[in-house]
Amino acid sequence: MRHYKPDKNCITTLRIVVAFLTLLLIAIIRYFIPAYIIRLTASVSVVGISLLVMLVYLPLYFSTFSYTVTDKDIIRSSGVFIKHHQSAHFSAIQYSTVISTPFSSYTGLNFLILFLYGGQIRLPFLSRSDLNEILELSGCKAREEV
Amino acid sequence: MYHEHPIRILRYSAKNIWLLIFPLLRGVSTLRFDKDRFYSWVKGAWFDILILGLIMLFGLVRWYSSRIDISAAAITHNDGVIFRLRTTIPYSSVSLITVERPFYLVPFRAVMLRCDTSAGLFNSPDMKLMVSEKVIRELKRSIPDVREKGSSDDIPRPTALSILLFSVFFSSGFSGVVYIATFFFKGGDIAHDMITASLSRITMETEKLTGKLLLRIPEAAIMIGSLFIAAWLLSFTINVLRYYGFALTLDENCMKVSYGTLTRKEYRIMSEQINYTDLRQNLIMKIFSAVAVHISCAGYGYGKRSLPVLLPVRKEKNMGRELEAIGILHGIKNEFKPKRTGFWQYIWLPVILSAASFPVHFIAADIVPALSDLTLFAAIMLEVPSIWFIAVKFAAFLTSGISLYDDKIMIRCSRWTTFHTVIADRSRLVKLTLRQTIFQKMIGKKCSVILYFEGEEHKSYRVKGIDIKKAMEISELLDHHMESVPI
Repeated sequence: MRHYKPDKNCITTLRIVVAFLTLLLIAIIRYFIPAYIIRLTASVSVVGISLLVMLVYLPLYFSTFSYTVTDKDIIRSSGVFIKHHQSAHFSAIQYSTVISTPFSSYTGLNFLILFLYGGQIRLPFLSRSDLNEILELSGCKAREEV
Repeated sequence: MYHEHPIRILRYSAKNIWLLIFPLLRGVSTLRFDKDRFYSWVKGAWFDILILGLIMLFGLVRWYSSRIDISAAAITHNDGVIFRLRTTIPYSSVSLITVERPFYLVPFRAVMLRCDTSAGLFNSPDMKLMVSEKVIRELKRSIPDVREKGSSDDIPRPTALSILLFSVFFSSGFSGVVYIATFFFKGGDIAHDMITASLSRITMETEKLTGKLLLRIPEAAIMIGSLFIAAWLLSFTINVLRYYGFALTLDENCMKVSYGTLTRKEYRIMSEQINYTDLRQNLIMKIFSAVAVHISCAGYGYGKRSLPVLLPVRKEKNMGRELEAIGILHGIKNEFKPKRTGFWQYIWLPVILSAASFPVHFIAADIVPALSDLTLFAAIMLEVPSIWFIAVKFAAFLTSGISLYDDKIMIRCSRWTTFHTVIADRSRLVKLTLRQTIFQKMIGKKCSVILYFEGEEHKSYRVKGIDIKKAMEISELLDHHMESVPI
C-alpha cells in the first residue's frame, strides 16, 4: 500500500496565483471606484479574503487531500467541510488522461484523470514522479506497453 | 509520431474566431468618416489581416501541438499548447473504432477517426481526431481485425429492398406522420366549414367578407400537413443515403460494419464489448416475420440521427448461422410468459382511450352543438390509433416473455409500438427489479420483471404480468436472490 499527498510546491503556486489576482482586483477597484471610503472598504475586504484563502483554506484543503494505492484499488480522500472518499478498482480503469501545466515539474500542477466504467476519478496536484508511479501501479503503463 | 491532418488547422483556427472582435471594435470606432478615410481603411485592413494571420497562426500552433502516437498496445493523443493533455487508450479497452469519410473531406484525403470505450462521457467519443489515410492504415494494423479466412461468409448481405424498408420504418415514425398529415388535411376543412357556418348566421355581408378570409384556413392546414409529409420524405431520403451500401463481416472477436454514400462510415466493433443484441420490430414487421438487428455497444449508433443497427430489415428465417456468435438463435420459446389474467395490464390504456373517445364526443356535442363536427372528427382520429395500440399491445401480450438458456438471457417485450427481443450474456445483467402494483397484487398475484443491462444508456426492458413465483424463480436463476422480499 502506498500513500501519496499533493505536491508541496502546488500550495505555493496557488498562493502566488491568489496574490496576483488580489493585486489585479485592487488595481481594478482603484481605477473604477472614485469614492475613497468604498475603495478602501472593497480593497480591505479583498485583501482579507485573500489572506484567509492563502493562510487558512489552502493549507486545510491540501492537508485533506490524500491518495492511497493498494494492490487492486486506488482511493482518493478530500474535502474540507464535506469529506469525500472515492475508491476504484484498477480493473475498471479503461483509459487515462494526464494534464500538465507549464513548468509543472516546479509548480506541481499535474492532474491525472482515470476513466472508469460509469465515471472517472480525478487526482489533482500530483508531482511528476508520483503521477508516473500511480500510472505504473494502476497498470495503465503496462497496458500501454503490452 | 503523427500529426492530425493539416485541414484541421482550419477547425482549430475557427475556434479563435472571437479575435475578430478587435477589428470589429475598431470598425465601430471609425464610423465617422473624414478626409483620411483611405489611409484609415488601409491601416484597418492591415490590422484585420494581422488578426486573421494571428488566428491562422493559433490554428497552426494547435495543430502542431496535437500529436498522435500509435504503439502496439495503445493510441496516445497529445493535445494543447499551454495546458498539455495526454490521453492514452489501450486497444484492450477499445469498444469501437469509427472511421468517417465525409464527402467534403474526400478531396483532402482526410478522415474523421473516433475511438470509444465503455468509459468516458455518455454520447461523446473518448477520442476524436481528423487524420490522414496513412494514420488509419497504421492504426488498422494494430487493432483486432476480422480474419480473412474463417470470417462469416453466410451473413446475408442487406439488399436494396431491405435498406428501403428499414428507411421507411425508421424514418421518424412513418405512421405518425401520415396520421398527423391527415389530421391537418381534414381538420383544416372542418374548421373552415364550421367558422364559415357560424359567421354566416350573423349577416350576409359578414359572410361575403369571411368567405374570402377563411379561404386561407384549409390552405394553411394543407401546407402544415404537406410540411409533415415533406419532413418525413427528407428523413427517409437521408436514411437511404446513410445506410446505402450496408456491409457486415464478423468473426468471434470482431465485427466490421460499413455503410453510407455521402458520408461513408466504417465501424470496427470488438465483439466482447457488445452489451446485448436487440431485434426490433413493429407490428407490420412482426406480421411479416421481419426484424432489424440492433446492438448495444459503447459509441455505436452515437448521435441523434444514428441507429445502432447491425442488420437492416431481414426475414427472421433468412438470418445466417454466423449470427449465433452474438447469441441470435432460432426457435427459442418463452420459458416464462405473462399470466392470462395479466392481459388487462397490457391493453388497459388504449382500451380506455378507445372506449371513451365517442362518449366524450357526445357529451361535448350536447354542451356545444356548434362544435359537433369537430369533436366527431377528433373522436375518430383518437379511435384509429387507439385500435392500433390495442392490436400492438395484444400482440405484445401474446409474445412477451423471458427465456434462460446456456449463459444467455432473452427478453421479449414491447415499448410503445416497438417489439424488442433482447439477447445478452447473463453476466451483462446489472439490475433486476420486481414491481408490483396494488392491482397486480389483488388480481392473480402477478408482478412486472424489469431488467437492466450494462451499457452507456440507462435502458430497461420490462415484462408485465409474470406470476410472482415465476418471477422469484427468474431472480434466483439470475443470481439476484429475493427470497426475503415481502411480496
